[in-house]
Amino acid sequence: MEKKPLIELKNCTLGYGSKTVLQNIDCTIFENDFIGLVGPNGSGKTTFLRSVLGILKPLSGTCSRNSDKLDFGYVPQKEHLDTIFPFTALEVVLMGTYKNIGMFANPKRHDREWAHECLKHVGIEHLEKVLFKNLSGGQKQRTLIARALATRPNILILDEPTNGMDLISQKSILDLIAELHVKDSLTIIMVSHLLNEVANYVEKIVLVENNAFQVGSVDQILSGANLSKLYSIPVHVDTLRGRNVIQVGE
Amino acid sequence: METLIHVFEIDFMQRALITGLLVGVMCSFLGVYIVLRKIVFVGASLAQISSSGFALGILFGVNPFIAALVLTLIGVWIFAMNLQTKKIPQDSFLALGYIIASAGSILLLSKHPRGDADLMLLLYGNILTITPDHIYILLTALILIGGVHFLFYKEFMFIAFDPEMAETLGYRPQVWNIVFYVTVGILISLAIESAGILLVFGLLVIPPIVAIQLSDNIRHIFAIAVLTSVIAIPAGLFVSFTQDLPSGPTIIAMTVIFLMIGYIVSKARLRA
Repeated sequence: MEKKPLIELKNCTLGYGSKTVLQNIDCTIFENDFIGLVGPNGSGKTTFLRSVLGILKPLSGTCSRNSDKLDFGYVPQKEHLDTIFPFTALEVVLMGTYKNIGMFANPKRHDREWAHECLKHVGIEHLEKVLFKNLSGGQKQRTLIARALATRPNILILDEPTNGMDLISQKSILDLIAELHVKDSLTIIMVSHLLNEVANYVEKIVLVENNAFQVGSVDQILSGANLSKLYSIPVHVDTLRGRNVIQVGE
Repeated sequence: METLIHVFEIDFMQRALITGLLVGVMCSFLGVYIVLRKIVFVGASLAQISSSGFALGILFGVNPFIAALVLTLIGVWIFAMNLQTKKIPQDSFLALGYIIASAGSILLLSKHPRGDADLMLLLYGNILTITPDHIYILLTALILIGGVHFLFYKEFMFIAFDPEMAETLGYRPQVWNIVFYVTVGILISLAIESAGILLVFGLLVIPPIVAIQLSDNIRHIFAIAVLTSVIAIPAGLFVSFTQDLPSGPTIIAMTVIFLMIGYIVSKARLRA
């Protein structure tokens, strides 16, 4: 079955005021895509993301959106959240229900039950009364994913979801994200500065690097020829036990 | 006990108590946000800016509260614009506001016939000479500011904790921040005249710190902060009256006792 386009950026220039960050951007995000947005810090990933979210209007070009289908669930970098706020995991997840609750009202019992369900969905319902600041990195990330799910999204956007985690927690979080994509049919955009990390999970890659903006399937982007040309250094892509391995240099 | 009741039977002490409680409840409640958001210096700068507006009002014969409010709201607008650059961080701009406003207040009042007395008034307030009209204004402000924070509690908390996600859900963090700062600005402008910079700033900061030490529950933190003020203010006024001490610093001293108790209790809990 043909996938429906959700967001289409055509010949877009993205930036802030007079400052251009990305130029000539053509990119279509389809329903049920699983995209890895990859690039180093300062390359324009956040600018691209803000445009996708609709917070930032393009300086030129068109950005068309299938507005009936767009409900974003956003998972920020957990390091951006200040743990001085004494919120429990459940209270953090409840924030995801605020949009539906609306102004002048407070969360009701059914909102708490829904927040509990979301925590259960990511496997940490037993931690709902634990303070967010006392959770491990992986548990914090699961809480933030649960909060994004509480908004009842069809597009889940995750900003560096495995930052600062050990290998086991990294794999566990990436497996959870892949599971949400398959079981819940969520469109997923996962931001990372590590190509290696996303290469074995996503289906499509948006690569923002060295003033280049490339969009394509993993096979198209992840070829030795393409990466060598992009980085101006020999890059080899091999397969080891069915997984892509990127090796830089001779 | 009889002495305590006797002290608060005196007319001006009753007015001082009511004023102190109104200022204390409002300051310690909003102070929880200020301490949690790590914008304590915003409180200090706005208090100082408000006092220079007050000084302007005295010098030019304009209603000092109106002058203080106008200048404070200009300060709120400037701070909300986020002037931070790659070279100069936001807290430097807050410090600039504080320094310029402090120097401005002193310069403005230096040539005024009652300059020294007015400067002391700005610093320490005069809670003992408060008029019934001022109490009604404070009460109205308490109801309005309290109402705004009661209605929009979840929005203020959400934006304070995670403005990035709030923006993706359609909230406008900058607008909510301006609303928040305006409520802080109005409170400070109103409170400065009666309580002075020292007491207003002290009540914005100390009771919330006491509460944060004692609890890990956000609602309890608000309650403990307000309760700290509600106990420290009558206690401070009573001691200042019986021992002939200035009221503002004595109230601050009372809150510091709670601060020490909070510190000891939190350390004891950590060891347990």
